[in-house]
Amino acid sequence: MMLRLLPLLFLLLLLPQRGEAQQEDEIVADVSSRHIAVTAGFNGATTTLFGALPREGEVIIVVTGPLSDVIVRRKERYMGLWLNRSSASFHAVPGFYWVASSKPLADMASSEFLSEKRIGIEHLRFTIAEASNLQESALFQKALVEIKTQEEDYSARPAMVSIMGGRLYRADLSLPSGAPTGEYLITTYLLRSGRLLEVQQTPLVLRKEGAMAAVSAIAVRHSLFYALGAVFLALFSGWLSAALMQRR
Amino acid sequence: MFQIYLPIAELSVSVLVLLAMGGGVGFLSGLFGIGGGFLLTPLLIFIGVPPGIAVGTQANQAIASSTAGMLGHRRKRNVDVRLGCVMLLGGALGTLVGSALFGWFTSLGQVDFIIAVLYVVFLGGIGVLMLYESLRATLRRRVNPGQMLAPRQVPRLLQKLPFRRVFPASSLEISLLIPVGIGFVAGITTVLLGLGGSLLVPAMIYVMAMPAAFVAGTSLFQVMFTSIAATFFHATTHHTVDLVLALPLMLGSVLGAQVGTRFAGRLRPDVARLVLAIIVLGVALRLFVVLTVPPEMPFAWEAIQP
Repeated sequence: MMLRLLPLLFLLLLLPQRGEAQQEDEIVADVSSRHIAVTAGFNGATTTLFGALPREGEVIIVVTGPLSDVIVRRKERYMGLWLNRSSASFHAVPGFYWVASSKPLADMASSEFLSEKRIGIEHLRFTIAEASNLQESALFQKALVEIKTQEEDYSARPAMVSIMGGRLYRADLSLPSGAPTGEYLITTYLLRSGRLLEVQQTPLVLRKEGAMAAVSAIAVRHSLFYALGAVFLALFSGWLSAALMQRR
Repeated sequence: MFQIYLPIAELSVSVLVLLAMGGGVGFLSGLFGIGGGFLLTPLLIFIGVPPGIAVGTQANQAIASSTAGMLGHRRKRNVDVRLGCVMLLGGALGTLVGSALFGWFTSLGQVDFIIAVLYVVFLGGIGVLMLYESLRATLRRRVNPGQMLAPRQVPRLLQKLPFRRVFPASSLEISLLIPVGIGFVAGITTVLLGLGGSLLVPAMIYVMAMPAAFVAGTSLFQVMFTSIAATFFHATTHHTVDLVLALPLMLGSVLGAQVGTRFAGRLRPDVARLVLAIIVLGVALRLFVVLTVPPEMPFAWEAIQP
């Protein structure tokens, strides 16, 4: 009896210690709001990313938005007109990309490291799914990043991470009003003299809620019902305005 | 100010901007007796609404404005329902063909290009035709104020078509193939371009030689039904009708149309057509420039629907 319980007792003794040891090494990362509700009044949002570091160092935070497959098309001159002639499609393109760092990126890490971890828009690499011309696909990828940056879904310059007392950090993430809804991933890196010490990943969800969520859910799931509603609403407002006009 | 989040287009815009856009288009629609889709669709794209959602939502909005206009004309007995129903036969077939074409062009990745080309062709053609006709009418009126437009006739080639029928309401005797054919083309353009009435009106005047009083009402009758079909198509297959976007547009256009209708009485019809011709040509010219001038950014991206 006692012999059987012995390993269990051992485990019980070990568990809290292992837990503490783990916590000491880890970055404790959090977001001021893990769920951001997109309601009728949504016009972009700001949320604070913050946490505690296990030891002193420099911090890089990367936020990537929901992934989707994307096709990039290029207009070319054909018989005097500009039309889409060639294209390339990519897998798992983040709908949002944002970087923040406590120092300029180049001063913190080698370009090999930044490239490997895809930190900074110049280091983004997407998997090619299909391309009219494989040699040119890099051009299409560069253009995609450029357009996404113009649309303010990708941030060209890293934002500020401020470190307080060597152990606490914070950064303000601002999402534009056109930010895609879905699951976001926050990756926090702790570095010291160019070496990676710790990585921590935290989720963040941007979700339509309330009436706006209902409208888009019905539009997709009960599209026939939605179409009927849209038609009747339009017919009714047309009839109403005609009826009001007659009154006068 | 007064920002509202559009759940389908997934962006935030000001309600005031939408009301103003709807109001402006409604004003022109009341003034000239057109749907205004050719103005609203590019305006929506301009404020950042994706092109597909702009076309789908505009179709929904067009139901409201055409219903209001049609009911107004019906009260004055200016709708030839019989002719309208014959045109609808073609219109129904046209919306089906238009839907299939829309799907095909989308899969080719050429939908924007084809829409732009068709816009230039149709708007350019209509604009030139209207400009010529309205200038002639304006000049003629100045020379000889008593004389109205020259009596119109169905083009000689079309007079030979079989299946001739009499439409007593608008006192026409024409081949059934003409209204069916016009309805067919308008059905296609409504689904593809959100361009129905502005194509129907000149076709009915110049091809069918229909009395002017019946043109607007009968055209709106047809636009109402094809817009319903187009809304159904866009909402059920591509989920591209944004009700939150459509509502303020409808409200604005309904109010704007009332103001426009009042101004319409003060404007001479030939001058009104001249102004409309210039607006139509302006839109066509802008699109033509987009097609032919080297673009600053030749690349564009689009999410692939899973």
